[in-house]
Amino acid sequence: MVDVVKTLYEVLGGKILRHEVIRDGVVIDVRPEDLVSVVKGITEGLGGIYTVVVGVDGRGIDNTYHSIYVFSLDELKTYVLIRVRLSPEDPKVESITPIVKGANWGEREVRDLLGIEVLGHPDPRTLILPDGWPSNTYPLRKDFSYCERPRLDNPGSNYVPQRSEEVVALPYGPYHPLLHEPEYFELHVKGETVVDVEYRGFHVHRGIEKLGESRLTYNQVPFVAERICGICGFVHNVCYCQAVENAAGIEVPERALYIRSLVLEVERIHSHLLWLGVACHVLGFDTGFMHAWRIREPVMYLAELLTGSRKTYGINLVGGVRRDVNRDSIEKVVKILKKVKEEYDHFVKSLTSVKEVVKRLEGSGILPKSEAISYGVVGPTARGSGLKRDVRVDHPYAAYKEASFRVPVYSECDNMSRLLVRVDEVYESISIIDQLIDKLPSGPIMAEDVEVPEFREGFSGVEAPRGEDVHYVITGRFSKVYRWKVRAPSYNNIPALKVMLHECPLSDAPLTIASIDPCFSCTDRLVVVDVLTGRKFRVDLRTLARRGKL
Amino acid sequence: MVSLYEILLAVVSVLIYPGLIFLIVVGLLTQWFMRKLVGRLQNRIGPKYVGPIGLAQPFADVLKLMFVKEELSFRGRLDKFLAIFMALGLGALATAMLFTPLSPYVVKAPYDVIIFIYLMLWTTAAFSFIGLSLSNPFTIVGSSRLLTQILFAEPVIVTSIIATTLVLSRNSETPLSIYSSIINPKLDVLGLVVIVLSLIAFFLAVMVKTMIKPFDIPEAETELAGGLLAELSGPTLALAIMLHYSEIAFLTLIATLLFLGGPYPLSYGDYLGPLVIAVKYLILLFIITLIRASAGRIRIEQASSMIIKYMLTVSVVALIIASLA
Repeated sequence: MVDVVKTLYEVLGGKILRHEVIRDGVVIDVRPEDLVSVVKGITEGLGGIYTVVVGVDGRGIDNTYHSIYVFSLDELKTYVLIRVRLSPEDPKVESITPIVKGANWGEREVRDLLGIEVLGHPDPRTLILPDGWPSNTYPLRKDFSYCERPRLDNPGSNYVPQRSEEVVALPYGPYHPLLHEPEYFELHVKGETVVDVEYRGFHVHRGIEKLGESRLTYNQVPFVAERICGICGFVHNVCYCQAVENAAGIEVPERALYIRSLVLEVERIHSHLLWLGVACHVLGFDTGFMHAWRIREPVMYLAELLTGSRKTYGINLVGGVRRDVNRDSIEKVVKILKKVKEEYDHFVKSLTSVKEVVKRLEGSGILPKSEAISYGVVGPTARGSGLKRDVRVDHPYAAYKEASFRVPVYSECDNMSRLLVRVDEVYESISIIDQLIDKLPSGPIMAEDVEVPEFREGFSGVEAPRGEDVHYVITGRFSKVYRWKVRAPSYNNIPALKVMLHECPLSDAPLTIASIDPCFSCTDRLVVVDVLTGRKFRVDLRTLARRGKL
Repeated sequence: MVSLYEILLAVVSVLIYPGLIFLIVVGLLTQWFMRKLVGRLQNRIGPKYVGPIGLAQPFADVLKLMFVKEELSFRGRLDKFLAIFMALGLGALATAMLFTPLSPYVVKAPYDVIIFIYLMLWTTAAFSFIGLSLSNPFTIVGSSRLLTQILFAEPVIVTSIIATTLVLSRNSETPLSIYSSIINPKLDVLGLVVIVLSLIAFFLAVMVKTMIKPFDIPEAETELAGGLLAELSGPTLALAIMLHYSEIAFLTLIATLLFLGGPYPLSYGDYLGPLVIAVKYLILLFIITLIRASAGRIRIEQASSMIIKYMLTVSVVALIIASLA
């Protein structure tokens, strides 16, 4: 870590006001006016890739607002957290979106939820809060009660159709057979080619971060965190626990780390099999869909064997795990995985031999490497664009140091490479599980001394099936977290769809959207109140009812 | 002078056998067969609950749509025209059945293949009209895709039928007649070549015309949310389903009778004849379903190049050989 700090001082010089080394990262304080040049130094000088923007209402700590820009320095195997402190009366900060495209959503989220004004943002529209949300009401500020429900102004009914003569606007969502969650893509189609796409998300409103900060204690949050996602919930659970453990300096027993890694890999296998099935379905190859899910079934059984549930395992706590694995189940795991691997082999061979499927996958949904870096995409989406990024290797956690595995990277940048990355990862995951089971140490599964001090920062990343999932935590008083920020992988991947869908044939658009394995409910966890609306125009229910009827 | 008996026979033939009712029943049974087979191929059970081995499931589905589900309508939807066009399509198919030897009331004349083809086109017209009578963007894209597909596939069907009838009814009193081609085929080696080529082209073109995977591009559930059928509901949807499966049944039946010799090696008078026809029909259907289950959807431009390469060229070659022979 000393090297990292040294390098940072070499590149940034006197712009660093002070630094603090935390587990898994370095926090540097800079002046708001230096922010843009510091970010430039990190991205251009050190090859940092954008991870997340975190806003903190720090008025309860040092009477300032914090805006924290996190970059991953993959080569130095660390995160760097650039913190600017802003005045409590009028928090304002320069936008970094012009130089880092990926920060677009993050900055708008900070503005929507904490009221930190972002100057010079190229796209200053509301991102998360619904239209009609009262001004000067910021749900993540500490003076906003978690049970408050502000009255929405009537969103109005100034319906203006936005299609020109030649363009057909195809509404994909909020409910569409392609998307299994409410999300809205408006594809502008000319003939059979997509010329533009409009995205409006954040239809699922759960306010989980606010709930975690105001009502729950440390050890209740993991169970809520696991419910952020219905497919890969365990990653959020692990990530939160790791963030708190990092903040409090808790040493987790080795056996618990192994169990976490085991379950994470089981989750990756079932998630990738699920995605392969969905991809086949999107291609109209339903036979592949059914068989992928048939193969996935024993994996679900395996999860039940290890944790007691098929999904939403609930075995994690800060400091370790609640449930041990016994020898009998481990023997079964090995047996089941062997069978799964055989069937999966057969499935992959047949899938890649269906010419129609291969022809549709190759050359569609191109995301060039440079754009991938700029948007800070993660997981298989990044690895399909030739970026070798994997949290398990770049920022090792749990028991991944003990396993040797390959990170599959394909540089064709199309849907096929994203598919192949996932195909290969399943093999790697099976191999990781085999290795970990061989080495599984004995011992306790829970740390003996779990003390969480006040106002410490913790940051942690976990490689979810969809990519890097990160959680940021500031510990608080009374066994509660002061600030808990979740950034799910799809949050960084969805904005890159604009690049992938440009000039894409309409038939390949659904596949391209599916190719990032979007998990909308992970992305959408922040909104508080519901309203049905498109981005360019607004339709309230009354208008919809009036226009929908004869 | 037309006798009352003849009129009655014609009406019964059109409405009951082998016309409307027969086609709908065979169509829905065809749907059951395809669903069951695809289900088994996809590691599912398929229709099971209504009737023995789920045989009555398609009927139950259609009846539910007709009598239980409501019809949703909205501004800009030409309801009556929709129903009228689909009924016309169904009626045209029923009438076209009179040209086959299955019908007790026989229609035959020299060059009646032209009328036959004209009647066959009505279903396509009905489906294209669905897209044009609804103001939904998905339906519009779907119907534009259907028209593109049909533009390539319909010539294949026409060419292969003409080539076959040209060969089969060469020396008969009624040249280019469907009935005499089926009932009294004249076959030599060259004729056999023509028929095999035409069958291949016709068979594939049927899959395009009836939007079966990999050619379900106008429907494309995961892209266009059902495309053509996206805005249909209740009785209209039931009508569309009946029309769709009747068309599949009709075209497969024509392939069985015209290209595969109907009850051959038996004859039409033989009481085991229908069984042979049924077996051949099911074999064709089995192949269609197998292709459907083992293929993903292709892009529209891939489809059109495929049609030109494997269907149009083959059928044109067949027509040239037929005219030279």
